Amino acid sequence: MSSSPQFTDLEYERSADGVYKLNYDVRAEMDTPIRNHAWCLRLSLPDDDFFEVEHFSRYVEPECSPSTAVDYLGQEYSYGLVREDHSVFRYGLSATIRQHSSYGRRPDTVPIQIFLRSDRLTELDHKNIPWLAAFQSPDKPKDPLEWSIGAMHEITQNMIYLTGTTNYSTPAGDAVSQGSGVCQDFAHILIGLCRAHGVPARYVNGFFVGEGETHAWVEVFVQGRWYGLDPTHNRLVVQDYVPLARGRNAEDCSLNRGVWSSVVQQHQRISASLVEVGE
Amino acid sequence: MGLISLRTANQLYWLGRYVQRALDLLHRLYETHGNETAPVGLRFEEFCECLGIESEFANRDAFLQSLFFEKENSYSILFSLTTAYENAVFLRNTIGHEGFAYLRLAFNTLESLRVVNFYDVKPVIDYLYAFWGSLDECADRRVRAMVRWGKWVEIRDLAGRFEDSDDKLEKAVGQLQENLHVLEVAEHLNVAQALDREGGIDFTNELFTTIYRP
Amino acid sequence: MQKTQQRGHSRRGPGGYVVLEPDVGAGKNREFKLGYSDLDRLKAYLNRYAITFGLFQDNTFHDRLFPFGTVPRVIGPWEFDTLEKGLRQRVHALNLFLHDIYHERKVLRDKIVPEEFVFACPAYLPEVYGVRPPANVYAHLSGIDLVQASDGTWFILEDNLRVPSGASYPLIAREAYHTVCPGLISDMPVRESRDYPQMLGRVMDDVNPGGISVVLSPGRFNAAFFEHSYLAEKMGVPLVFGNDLEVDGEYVYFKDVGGHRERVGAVYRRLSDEYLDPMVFEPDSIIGVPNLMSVYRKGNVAIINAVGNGIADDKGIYYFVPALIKYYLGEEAILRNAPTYLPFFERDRNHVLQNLHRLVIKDVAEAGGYGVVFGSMLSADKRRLLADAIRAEPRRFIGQEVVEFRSLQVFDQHKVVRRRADLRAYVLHGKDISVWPSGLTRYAMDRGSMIVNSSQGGGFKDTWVLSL
Repeated sequence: MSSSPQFTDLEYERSADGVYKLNYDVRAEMDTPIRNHAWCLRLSLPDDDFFEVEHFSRYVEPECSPSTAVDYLGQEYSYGLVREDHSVFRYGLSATIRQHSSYGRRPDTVPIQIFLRSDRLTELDHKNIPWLAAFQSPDKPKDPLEWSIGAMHEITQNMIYLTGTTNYSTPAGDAVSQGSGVCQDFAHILIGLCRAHGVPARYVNGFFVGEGETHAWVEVFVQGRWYGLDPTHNRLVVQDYVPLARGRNAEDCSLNRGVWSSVVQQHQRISASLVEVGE
Repeated sequence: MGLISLRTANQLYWLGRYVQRALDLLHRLYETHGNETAPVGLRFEEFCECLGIESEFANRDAFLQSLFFEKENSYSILFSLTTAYENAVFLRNTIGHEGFAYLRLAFNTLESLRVVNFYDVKPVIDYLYAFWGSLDECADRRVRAMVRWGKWVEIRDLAGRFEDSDDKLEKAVGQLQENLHVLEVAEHLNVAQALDREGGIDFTNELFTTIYRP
Repeated sequence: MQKTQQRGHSRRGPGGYVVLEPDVGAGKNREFKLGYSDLDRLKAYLNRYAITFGLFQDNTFHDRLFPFGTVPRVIGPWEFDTLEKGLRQRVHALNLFLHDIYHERKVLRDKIVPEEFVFACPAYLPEVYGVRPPANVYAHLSGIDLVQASDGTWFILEDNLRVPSGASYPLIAREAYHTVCPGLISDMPVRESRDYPQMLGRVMDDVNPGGISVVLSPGRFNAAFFEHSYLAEKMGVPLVFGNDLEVDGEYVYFKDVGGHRERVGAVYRRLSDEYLDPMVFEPDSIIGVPNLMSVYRKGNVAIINAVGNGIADDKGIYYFVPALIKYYLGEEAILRNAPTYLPFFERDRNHVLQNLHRLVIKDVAEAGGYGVVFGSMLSADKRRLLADAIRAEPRRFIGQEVVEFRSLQVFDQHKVVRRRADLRAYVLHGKDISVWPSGLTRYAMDRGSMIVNSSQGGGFKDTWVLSL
């Protein structure tokens, strides 16, 4: 990563509101039909001070009367069951969102300490990687937010964004050793660094402005608020981001889980776009 | 009446098949007894031919040894009882703790034998009949119907292979129809379809041509 | 002990017998005895039913017969009365702790338990944070392991609030005694224990928000599969595997082969939390029920035991249970913990490090008798390694005094020998809390051994509680 955006100023003014159009569509095609397909999808926008949802619709095909429930962070999700044979499973949402770009999200009721617990995906062994070793001082950072931002800089300077070198279950440590990964790996590394220093950190899955797939970033908990950091783009998450799921790591935030009984080859096409449409 | 899952129905069916296979073959093997050149039943070469298995045995004893104890021979008594027992382990709560015990006793007894001696084998047959009896006494009617279904298919299969007269078959079909009327047609279909998928046999067709025959 | 050993002598030869201990007939001027021939009959009776437990060895599955110690353990009525009170108190407090720790967390704010012991513990599951299980019961069925010291004092060794197993073994053994020696049982007299399935069924009814009850088994190759099917039969409920159930909308259903389905209101699950629902936990689990947790979160199904109970039977939390009893119930603990030290506290750590040679050290992450190390049996090198491990990760270990627990009579190859034994008591929590008047007594196979776990070769006995 060559140049990184400048943002030494940590004061975040409430800037002008932006209006965004979000479209998310996933089409999974199976080579042979499946049945008794139980699914669980993140198809709800968070209930947040920072958003006003002006228009919202979502769909799941084949039709199967979905239900909704709420997870431990109070986030709504959808689930259901498709009994009959089908070889295409499609779902998505579209929304128009007015986003207020203030910074610092309120805490949830779940104990914050769970975001300090290391896990398989975010655990880091500092010893063998020089740039990680530099983080090894056991002292708690004086200003945890500033410290976290510094850690994010380090990641962007020492890691190369390269698709195909990691997969959905690659632990942060492996990505660090090979020096490359994608947004998920960058996020896991930052989470691992923060937790090792006593800064609660969590994973966010959602959308970043532009066209493409879904994106992942990090939130750190400092002085009673959650602040978003995007180690892939080396920037603070102020506007231009729409979260869909928060949790301890990527597995906790998977947008889509499905279970059926046969073994099939699956081809998945994801398209996501988040576009600012102005006032 | 109790609830039965598709998996349980499937296992009950196979339990019925394997218990019946063991019993049926025990009787037929007994009939190969006697004078080697003029047995009451078939000569062992003919026996093998009916089952479609290799018949290259040195003598009748070797043949019996294999048909009783060879684990790889899918027509051996031990194989049938092992498979029946394996299904029964899943079904202990469905067929009842007592019914299960009879199967286990049959299995244990056979497993403890080393050479074929029809006197020693007799308790195996006793236990298997005790199992059928216990099933009739204790098990739910739907459970019974599922096991009988498997039993009937096995009777029919072996009767076909050994070219039995029709009498035996008629009796079995009558017994099955008596039992099956407790099941819903939808249930028949479900089980048959599940079996089609698993065994590659067209049970659905068989169900309608044989049991529901005009 | 010397004395009882003399009184409890056995006569050799075919007419021989074992005099049951403790010698409760002494006051009545008589002995209660079991003849050798009856002991043989008892063994044969159990063999008939294949009382097995599964074991993986060298990556293959073995169905093992669970060695049956035919001489029962006898517990007198007054003694059991104390056990009963103590166990009910303990489970009551643990249930309140579970509610608290997944809701208000007062116990942490009041500093009864250090935060580290809860939040750093992988058994604390955020997934059930804020979830209120039906009837607010978490610990429906607890298996509490106790040992009796040579002087008669009972100590709690371990709590099991996840998926405690084993009740079916003494249950079926009791059937054997009723068949082989019914007179002895009514003479003593021994309290009835064969209604355990009904007790468990009542607990399920108490918490069932609507629908049938089922036993959910992980499958044939689970160590305790025999027990799953046995209890299902005796309770008269279906034994199911994950894909016999489905979640549709707000409820869980049992899929009947006839095409209809039946709502399920209570699931006595015998698989651990991480395999329960692939949508929330281990995504590759094929033995769970997809979306079960969604229905659970809505209070539309009772899961027995509750999800997330592991935090209450953590070996680290064990240390604090007497304090929890005091905190939640305002009472002193009736039953004592085995003297335990937490290296997490500096003072305890020093004590543990200085006394490694005579303590038993347990790794809090392990179960089933694994990760238990007797300091006295380690070489100096190994002891040093252990000390380093304790210094590096003090929270991971507990140190315990070795309780010299009582040996019981075991009939082995036509003579009576003595083996160390523990007791797993079963506590049931529905509308009320009750203790099953029996229990699983497990004994070590080898002389002098203190490891009684079935996975490590131990055997079992029935436990006879006498009525007044």
